[in-house]
Amino acid sequence: MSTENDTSNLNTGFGFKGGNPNYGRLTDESVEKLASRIGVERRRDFADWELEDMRCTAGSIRRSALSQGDYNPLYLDPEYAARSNYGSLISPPWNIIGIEVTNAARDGMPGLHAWFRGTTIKWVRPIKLEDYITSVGVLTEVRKQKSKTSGEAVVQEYINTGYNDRGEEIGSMFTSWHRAERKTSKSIAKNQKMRGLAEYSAEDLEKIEEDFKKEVRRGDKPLFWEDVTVGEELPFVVKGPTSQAQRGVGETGGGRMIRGEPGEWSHTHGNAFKLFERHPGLPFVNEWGIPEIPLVIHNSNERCQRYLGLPGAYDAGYQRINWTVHMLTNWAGDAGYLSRLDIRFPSFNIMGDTTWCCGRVTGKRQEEGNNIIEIEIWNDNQLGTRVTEGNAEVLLPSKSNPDEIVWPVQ
Amino acid sequence: MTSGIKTTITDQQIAELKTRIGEVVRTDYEDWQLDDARYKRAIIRTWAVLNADMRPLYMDPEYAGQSPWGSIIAPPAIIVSHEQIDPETDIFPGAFSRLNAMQLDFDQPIHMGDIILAESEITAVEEVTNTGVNGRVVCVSITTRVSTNENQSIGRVQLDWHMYERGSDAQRELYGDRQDAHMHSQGDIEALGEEYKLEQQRGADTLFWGDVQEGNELQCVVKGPTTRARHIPRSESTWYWGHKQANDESKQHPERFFENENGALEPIMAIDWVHHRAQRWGDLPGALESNVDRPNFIIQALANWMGDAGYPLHIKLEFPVTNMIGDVTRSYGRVTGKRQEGDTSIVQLEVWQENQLQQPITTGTAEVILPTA
Repeated sequence: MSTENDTSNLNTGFGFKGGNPNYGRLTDESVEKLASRIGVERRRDFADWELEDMRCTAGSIRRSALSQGDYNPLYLDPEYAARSNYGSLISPPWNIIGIEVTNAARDGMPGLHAWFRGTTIKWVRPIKLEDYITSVGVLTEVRKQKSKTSGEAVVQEYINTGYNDRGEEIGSMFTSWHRAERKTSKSIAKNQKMRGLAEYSAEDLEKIEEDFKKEVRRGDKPLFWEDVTVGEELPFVVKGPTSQAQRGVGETGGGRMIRGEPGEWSHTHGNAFKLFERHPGLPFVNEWGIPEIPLVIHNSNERCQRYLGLPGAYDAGYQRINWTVHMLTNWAGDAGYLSRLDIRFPSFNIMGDTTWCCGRVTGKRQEEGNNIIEIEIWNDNQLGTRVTEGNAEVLLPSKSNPDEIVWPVQ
Repeated sequence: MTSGIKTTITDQQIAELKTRIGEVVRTDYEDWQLDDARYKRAIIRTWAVLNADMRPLYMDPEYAGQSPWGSIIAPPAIIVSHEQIDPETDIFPGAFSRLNAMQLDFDQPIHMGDIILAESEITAVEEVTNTGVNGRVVCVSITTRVSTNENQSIGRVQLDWHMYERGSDAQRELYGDRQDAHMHSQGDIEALGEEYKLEQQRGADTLFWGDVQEGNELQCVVKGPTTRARHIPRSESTWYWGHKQANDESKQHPERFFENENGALEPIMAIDWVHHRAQRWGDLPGALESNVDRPNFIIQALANWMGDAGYPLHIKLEFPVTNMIGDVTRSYGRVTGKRQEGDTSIVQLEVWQENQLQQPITTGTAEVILPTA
C-alpha cells in the first residue's frame, strides 16, 4: 500500500524573514529561557462572554462527533442520551484535550519544530450539555536529549487540569513534546530512506470498506466487569484514509471559535502583517514570496516534502486520541467510563494513511469501589506500522450493583 | 492514479436542475437545536477576525452599545454564508463552481443574540453560451432569504454561480494569460505592510447625508495576499466526508470524489484549495479564490468611509476576473448620486476592486443609508 521515497532530491528553501538571529535555532539560552517558566500556572484569558459562548450545545457536540466519524447516540440523540446515566447529551470524551492551555508548538524556542510524543489523560467527570470548561496549564519539564531523527533535541512537558463552570475538576492531561531545529530534521531526513505516501489499490479500499462495516457499538447494553476476560480483544475501529478534506474538519473538531492568537491559523490580510510585525521571525516565506505561519506547512504533502524533507503531511496526533477513544467507548458502552488513557506516538501518521485502532484487555481489578479494566491499546497503519501505543483504564459496573454510575466523581 | 480530471455537465442534469426552480430549501431546527442558530459574540468575532475587519462595532460591546445599533452587530456580508444550497454538492456535483455575481439587499443588521434562520431557492438555471471556447458553463441563480426566528427580515442574497465542466477550455479561460500564481518580492510584501497601516475608520464620527457630495471617493482597502482558500465552517456543516462517511458517500455519489495522490477517494473540491493540487489534477496554473470574500472587503471600505451610523442597503457586484490564491485585492468606491425616499437618505456609489496586476476583478454599485443632521 505504499512506496518508498528517496528524499535526496527534495526542494529546499525554508527561510525566515528578519527578526531574532537565533530564531529556529536550539541554543542553551533559548532552553534556559523556556525552563524559567517551569512551574508557572498559565490560563487562557477567556472573557466571561467567551466562556458563555463556549458552553457545550447540541450543535457543538454534534459537530465534534461527526468530525471524527463517531455516531454514538450519546452525542447525537437527546432522547437516547436522556435515558442514559448521563441524563443528557454529553461531549465526546476526547474533547478533554481542549483543556490544553499551551503546548510546545507555541511555547518557547520559536521556530523550532514541535512533535507531540504522547499524552496521559485522566477523566474524572463527563462534560455535559451546557458545561463550559476552563483549565490551568503548567510547564513541568524541559530537558535536552539526543535524537536519532533530529539530532539535538529538547523534551518539553506540561500538565493541564480542566474544570467545568461549577469549578469541578473534569480531568487532566499530561503532554510530552519533542523540539528540534527544522533544518536539522530536514538534513537528517534527506539522508534517510523514508517511506512514501500511502497508495491504495481497489482491493485495499475494499478491505477498508469491509472493516468499516465491522464496527460494533455496545450502546445501552451494559458491559459488566465480571463478564470481561483478560486477553480478550476489543472490536477495532478503522479511520481514514485521511485526506486534506478530512483533516480540514477532523483537526478542527468541526469548527471552533477563532480568537486570532499567535500560533492559530486564522491570520489573514492585515492581521497577518500585524502579527509578523510583532513577531518578525515567525513566518516562513512561501513558494510565492508570501509570509505565512509555519503551521500551514502541515496542510499539504507537498509542503512537508519541500520544507521538512518528510514524505508527507503528518498529523499532530490529536486525532489518534479521538479515534482511540471512539474504539474504547464503543466497547465499554454507555454504562462504562473511560477514566485513563496513556498514549504515545512512535511513528508519524501521514496524510493519506489509514489507521486501525485496536485494544486488548490486559488486566482487571477492583480498587476503592471502582471496577477497573486495564487495556493495552495500539493503532496500526496500512503498512502494519505501529503509529500509536499505550494503555487505558475503563470503569465498568459490577453485577453486584448493575445500575451504579461508575465515573469517579459524581 | 488519475490526473487532468475532466467532468461533464449533461443536458439531463440541466433539465433536472430546472425542475428544481422554485424549490425552497431550509434548515428546520427543533426547539432544542435553536440555540445553535443564535448569533453568539464568538461567531461575530470569528467572522471579523477571518476578514481582518475587527472594527469595535463587531468586537467591543461597550463601544457598540453606544452606537446607533445599541449592541454588537455582525458584519453585514455574513448573510452570504446562510445560503442553504451548496453548489459544490447540491447542483452539479463534480463541477467547478465560481461565484460570478451577487446582489445583497439589507433590511437591518444582525444583532448579537439574534436567532437567524434562512431559506434558499433556485431561481434560474441558464446555460452560458457566449464563452467562445469549449466547455459547458451553466449559471445557477440562488436566492436566500435571511430572517430572525421572529420573522423579521434581515436581508436577501442572490448569488449567481457559474458551474464549469472541469478540464474544459472554459475553466482554463478563468486564468486569462496567467501561467502561475503571483510571485511577490520582499519589497512587495514590505510595501503592503505599510499600505495596511494607512487604513482609517471613521467609526463613531457620523457622516451625514448632507455632507456627502457626488464624486467623493472612498479610501482604498487592501486585502491579501491570500494564502489559502478560506474555509469558514458553517454553523451547521453540510458535509464532513471522512472515514466511513466518506466511504459511504463515495458509493452513493462517486461524481463528488476524485482519486487522490494515495489512490483514495476524496471530495473533488479539495482539488481547488491549493495550487499544487489544482496544477496536478486540474492541469491549471493554480488555485482560484472563490470570490465569496469580496463583498466583505467592499463593505469594509464602505464602513470605513460612512462610519458606524451608516449601513448598506443594496450591493450589486459582478466578478469579471477571478483572483488566484496569493493575489492582492484593493477595494475602491466613488459617490455617484444621492437621494431621499421618505425618511430614508440614500447615497449611491460605484464600487470596484482590482488585484495587484491592476485587473478590474469586481465591478458594481452600492447604496448606503446615512443619517441626516
